[in-house]
Amino acid sequence: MHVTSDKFSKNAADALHDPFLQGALQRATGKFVNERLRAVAEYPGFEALRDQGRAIKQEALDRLPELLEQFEEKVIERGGFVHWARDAHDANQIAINLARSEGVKVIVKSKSMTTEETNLNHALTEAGFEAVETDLGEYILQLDDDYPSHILAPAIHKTKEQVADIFDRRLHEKNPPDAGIPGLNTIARRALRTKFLSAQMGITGANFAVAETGTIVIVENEGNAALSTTLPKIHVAFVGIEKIVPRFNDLAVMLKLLPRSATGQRMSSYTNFLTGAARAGEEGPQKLHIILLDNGRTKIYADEKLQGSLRCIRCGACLNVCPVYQKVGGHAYGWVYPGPIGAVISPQYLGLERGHQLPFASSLCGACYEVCPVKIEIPHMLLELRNRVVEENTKATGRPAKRTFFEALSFQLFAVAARRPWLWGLGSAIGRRLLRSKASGGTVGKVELPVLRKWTSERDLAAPAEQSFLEQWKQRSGSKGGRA
Amino acid sequence: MSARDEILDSLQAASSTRAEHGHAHTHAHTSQALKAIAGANLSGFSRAISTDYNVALVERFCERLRSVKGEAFNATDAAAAAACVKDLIARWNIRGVAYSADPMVASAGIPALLAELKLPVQRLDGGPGEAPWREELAAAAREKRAPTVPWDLAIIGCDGAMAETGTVVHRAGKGHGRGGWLLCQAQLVLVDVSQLVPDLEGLFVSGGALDKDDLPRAITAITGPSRTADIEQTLTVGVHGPGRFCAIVVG
Ligand code: SF4
Repeated sequence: MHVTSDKFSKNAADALHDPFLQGALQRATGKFVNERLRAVAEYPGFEALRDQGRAIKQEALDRLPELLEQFEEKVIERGGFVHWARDAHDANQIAINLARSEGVKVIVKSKSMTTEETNLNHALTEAGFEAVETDLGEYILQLDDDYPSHILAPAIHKTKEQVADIFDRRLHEKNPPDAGIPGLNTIARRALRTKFLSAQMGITGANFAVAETGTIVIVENEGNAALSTTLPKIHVAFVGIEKIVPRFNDLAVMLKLLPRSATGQRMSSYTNFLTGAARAGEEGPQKLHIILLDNGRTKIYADEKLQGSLRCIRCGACLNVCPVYQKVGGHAYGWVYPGPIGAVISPQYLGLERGHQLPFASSLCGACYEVCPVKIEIPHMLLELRNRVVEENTKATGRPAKRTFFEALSFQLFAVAARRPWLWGLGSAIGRRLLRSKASGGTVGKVELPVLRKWTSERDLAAPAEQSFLEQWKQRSGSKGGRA
Repeated sequence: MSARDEILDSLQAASSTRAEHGHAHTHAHTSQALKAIAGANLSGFSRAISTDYNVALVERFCERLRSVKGEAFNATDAAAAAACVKDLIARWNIRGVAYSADPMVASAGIPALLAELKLPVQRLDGGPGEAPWREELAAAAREKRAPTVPWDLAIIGCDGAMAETGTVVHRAGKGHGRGGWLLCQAQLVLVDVSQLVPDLEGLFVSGGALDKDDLPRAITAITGPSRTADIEQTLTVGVHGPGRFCAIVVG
């Protein structure tokens, strides 16, 4: 896919002027947030569960090399194959070689952010295979040459009319009048049925990979992952090396956290536990290939301040609560992982040069941390990345971040006033009056003064209170001053 | 160096530097927490002998399954279950039934019932017996027509069920695959009341449906019908898997 993370500001501005997108985002994120709240409130001890989720994923990271080897051993024991891929290109190439050597023509894919990351569809199509996305949202996007804007609801930016039009153009199927969304569903069900029944290979991602047993777990609602891992004779799974959990029973914790945090469901419709290839007499793929993907993860792993971001289980909760994501949507972030977690990990996968705007796409309100089922300290990581962006700039230009003449002057004036209480009091009294005279509805509009102009053109400045803090303090404590 | 060694080496290097800096974590905390929850829920599990507790479990299971657009019934015995199935076949307008070789299906007298109703049947064995059936389904889909016999209901048993979420667990094994029921329009699962556990941990015990020492290729935890909200966040059922789902708890 075309990376546009370096144009975040422009992408965001475009998104803000798209009325349909604004409606869709509000509806989707609002719904996800509410459903999650309901599910969490109903489950006593959800906070303790988050601590356990964090501990399990952190243990997996602490013991990662050993656990990956154990996972590999177990998969092989159960008749599967394990491949290791340094980057996206290698991973795709492994899948292509497998498909070639097995004489595969049609491939069914179930939704996987990891294969979005490697841009697998593109690679498979280039190599001459028919690779079909089977998750309804992903299928719609594939037919329209588009890409996901939310990690759970990939097509939230499309209207049903647009979908009907896409099906008409690409599948030559008209949705009967009054058939509505269920009608569109039926068209997709029928079209994809033929693919499931004729595909020779199914490609999936995984939500969890269990070191102890070599099991991979796929959580889904449609049944397309179940079909993709049952009907074709070959199953290929793209698994990021951070998907490991140590023990099978850890799933008892992770599977409570994931659906509740993601969609507010207690359990998703289908949770698939897949261990090895089909054995004699068992239905399912005779061949299982698991591709363990690095693609930058070892780099994040070595980064002490950011390693925790590898605990992410891609639930999407941080996207839904983020005031920035809620307004700009997923495409603005310009790469596969949007929202707060995207702002942390994309700059690492893409490099700071291309991802430098993303750490600033946050109000640092901390809502993402509050909901994260594995307690990733996203706000701290964003601050760390901001520091690094500034450092990089300093290094590149050979001097500290440049200050404009007015900026420098403001800091000097500030220094003068801050050392003289009488001047500070006078200055702030005048400033307060001035700003209050401009205020309406509790906020001050754009202030046509140097420095302030830039700040207030993009942000609402709250109108100052009538009295300063010190004035109020004196009044309330009977002018006794601040000594206790 | 192979990709494998390269990846493992860089991870190893990173974790040993961290260990030197005293960042190694102890995992006693983790395993203790896990033991605590497992213990709590196991005590819940053994309480399942009391009758009142069973009633509460069944009620919870049914309520939770209904909340995700599934149907749920409690039948006191095999005869009541069969009556319930008969009713469902009429109500859902079923024209052909595929069923698995599960003991619950046999003990509820399903084969006899289907013969009485003169419905076309297909055994779901996940093996060669299913092949012609699958081929016909594929041909029908390709040619955009209805299959010659529209087997639109799958009746199966299960290997465990969880009240907290209204979930049933299917372990694919010899003679009972999952491709068959995944392809049907509707799905009916027979649950023996003794299979019901309160919460997820109950399924992970030794001998349970999710016993780590006994894992077939595919285990599916099923919670209601296949669903999607991918178009305009509007919930619709039956996008790939069965669009109608019913569980009958027997006993
Ligand atoms: S960072 Fe946390 S909240 Fe965000 S997607 Fe990952 S696990 Fe979910």
